[in-house]
Amino acid sequence: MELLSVIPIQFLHGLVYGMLLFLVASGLTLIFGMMGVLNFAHGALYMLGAYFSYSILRWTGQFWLSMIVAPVLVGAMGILIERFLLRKVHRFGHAHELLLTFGLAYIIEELVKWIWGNQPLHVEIPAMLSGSIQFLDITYPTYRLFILLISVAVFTVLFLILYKTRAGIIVTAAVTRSEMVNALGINVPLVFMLLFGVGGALAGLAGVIGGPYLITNPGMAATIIIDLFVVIVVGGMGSLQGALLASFLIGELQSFGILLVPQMAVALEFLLMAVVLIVKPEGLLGDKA
Amino acid sequence: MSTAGVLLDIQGLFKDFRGVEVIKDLTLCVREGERHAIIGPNGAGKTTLFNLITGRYTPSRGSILFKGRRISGMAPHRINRMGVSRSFQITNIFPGLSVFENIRSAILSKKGIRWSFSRRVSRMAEVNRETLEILALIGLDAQRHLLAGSLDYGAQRAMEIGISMATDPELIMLDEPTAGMSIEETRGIVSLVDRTTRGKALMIIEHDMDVVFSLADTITVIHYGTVLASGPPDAIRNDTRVQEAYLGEGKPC
Amino acid sequence: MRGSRFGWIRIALVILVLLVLPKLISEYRLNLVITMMIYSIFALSYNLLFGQGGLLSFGHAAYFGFGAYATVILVKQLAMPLPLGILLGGLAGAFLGLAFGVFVVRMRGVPFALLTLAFNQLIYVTAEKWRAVTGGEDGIAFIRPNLNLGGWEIDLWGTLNWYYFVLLVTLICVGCLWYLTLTPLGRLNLCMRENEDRARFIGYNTYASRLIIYILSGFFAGVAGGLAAAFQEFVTTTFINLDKATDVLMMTFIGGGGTFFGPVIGSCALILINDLLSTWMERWAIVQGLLFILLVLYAPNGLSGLYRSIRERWAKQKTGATQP
Repeated sequence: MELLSVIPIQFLHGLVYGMLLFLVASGLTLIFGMMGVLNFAHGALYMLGAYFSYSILRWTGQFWLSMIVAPVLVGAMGILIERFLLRKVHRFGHAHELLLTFGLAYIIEELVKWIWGNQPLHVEIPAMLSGSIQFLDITYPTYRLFILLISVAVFTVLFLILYKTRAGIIVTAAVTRSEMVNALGINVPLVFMLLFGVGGALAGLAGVIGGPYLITNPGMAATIIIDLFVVIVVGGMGSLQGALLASFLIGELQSFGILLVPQMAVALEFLLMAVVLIVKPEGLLGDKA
Repeated sequence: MSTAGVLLDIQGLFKDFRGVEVIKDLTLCVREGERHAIIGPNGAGKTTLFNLITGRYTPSRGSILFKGRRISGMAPHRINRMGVSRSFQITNIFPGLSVFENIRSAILSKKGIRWSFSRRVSRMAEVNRETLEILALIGLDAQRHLLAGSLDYGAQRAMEIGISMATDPELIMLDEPTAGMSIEETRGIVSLVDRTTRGKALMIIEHDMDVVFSLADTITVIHYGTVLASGPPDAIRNDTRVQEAYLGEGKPC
Repeated sequence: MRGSRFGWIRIALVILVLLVLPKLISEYRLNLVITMMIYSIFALSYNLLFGQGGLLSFGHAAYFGFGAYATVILVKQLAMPLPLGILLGGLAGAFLGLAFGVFVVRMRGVPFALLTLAFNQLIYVTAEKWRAVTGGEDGIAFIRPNLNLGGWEIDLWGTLNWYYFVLLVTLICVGCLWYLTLTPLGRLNLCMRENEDRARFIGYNTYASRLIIYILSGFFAGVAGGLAAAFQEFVTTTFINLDKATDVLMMTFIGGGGTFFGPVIGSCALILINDLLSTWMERWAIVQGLLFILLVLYAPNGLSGLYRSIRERWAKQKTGATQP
């Protein structure tokens, strides 16, 4: 049957987007779980990754260089945002922090339009990543497999750091018990700042590799931030494993949604969210508050 | 024990948090007009008991009856409407509203004027008169236009009690009303509590033994989540188990 | 009440100016004022949650847009009179407020913001995809029908009559919302902002109370949406998208949620500056974003809060100078 043969392809499509989404969501959900700060500008950082990469490519033509430099730049921006802006409004509460990051997202989007224009940009991918790969009777674009590979590699490293190293254990402890970590004499503000840097860099990396695939355009921040928020709610606010599960679900839901119920596809993730909220308000893998 | 005049009747109460039993098999009675002090070391479960009675927590097992009706597991606002009002150990007021409005919100609730959007509050003579009465009682009528959050600590504590009193409860529960106060301020609060709760049943959590012995006619000692002893002040004072567990080490300074 | 007689005189003056305004300014400007009035209602409805209720919503466009679609469909398909259509638009907003409110008013702070945003998207996506009813991205165009008052036809097509119609609806809505702040329900909203937990322990059912406030807020947003659709004689998905939801947030925040008229000031200021500057400056939005961030950082109560604190400081200096 026709439908049956496209299932593996659609599954891969969903997986690619889901893992890319998780790459962005991981920093967002860690920061949220740890500090209660929901960074509205996280999608904008992802977008900056894509645009920085575009410019680096235009100047140097080095894709691999842009994969390193752009995330570092975006990570530095994350650090600056935390250190010089977020800290100032911390005493006003989390809703106020959300307002601030919303304002930042708004400005970044406008600046991007100003600097790079309103039109979508074409980003050239390296020759070795273009074309497609044949496996059994499935043909799949190499670049998407590359995205999948990078995403899986990054979050494998991330999970190893978080659950196997001392620094990682401090971070995960801070997510659930920040007052305890504080009492242990760990410099929590520093950990927060670095987390912003790492989270930003991951979002930037996702932007670099996602740009050529999802098209670099000024609306990409707004598009992904909605998906990110759904990931956070569905996965459970602050849960990394939850974010992984939710990213995967949303990727597949979008992929198969377009195939099976094209009219309804975009609404599916919100329906999923509504169902989760009604059945399990704390999210799939969230902690009951 | 006869059930006549029993206002609050707690039988075999249990509460555990993730396997830790904070309250276990606690049985306690409060009669009408009784002035009942709850004492015990830190972490004994006194505030948890208050939270169970007033509906913040649902008991794991056991029953709480108020005027013969089961209130365990009810929502806080429903328990309050039945005539149970409490104050909090950590000051819990409406900081951004005026002192007057803090008290008025409780008066409005007592009168059941909660969702009205046809009448202005400023025109409700009865409500405003009763609010002023409470303010006079707690000695804050001069500060009534100030923001509650701008008051000094002592005045905020008085307001905490005022808000709890204003709903005109049959059982008033005060959680360490003198916490963090000077001797002078404590004396003021004790006389305030004495004046405002006359004729009502009072439950008070208190660490200061002078306060306890001057206010209470019944004392219950709670230790590890259960009742160690309960009775008139003299009996408690002379109870050897109580002395061991509490009075000896926690002698008021 | 402090200076309440002075306040009445001021209000009467503003209404008087609004009544004679068509004589004073061009038709183009009059249209701008109509926009300001409509967004003032929208921002005030939003402030019921934001400034008065202490809830940050990223999804208030849902009620605005839902009201707009309801008004247009009822007036166009069922040939309903416009005032009834707008009233039902408000009721549609209220109904949606009930449907979503049941879930969202359980939350506060960031989770509340997230949920309102997601519900807004749900409605937005529905409007975009359910083309049979909403016309999708093309939207629905219609013509503002005449007003029929028992045989007396009033033409609402012309700007002048339409201006007075919007003015009347705006005065009614603003009056209602202002009166609400003086009633027990309005005061309760403030209590819940300050300390919801305490309100519960003095006998308030805060869940139900918040739900009622949420429904009222949806109602006035729906009315604003109905008016906006009738004004543009058109409704499309831009009435309901995330930009619309954040516009009202910006207007309210920049004007200041802490005072009743702050949101009105915010919406008028932004609409006016947008009109004046956007012709000269292509990137006016960046200035708006910077203004927003500066206020978030240094004046969390917006322009009206800033004005108030400057005035208080000034008054303090004056009394300080005379006292010693």
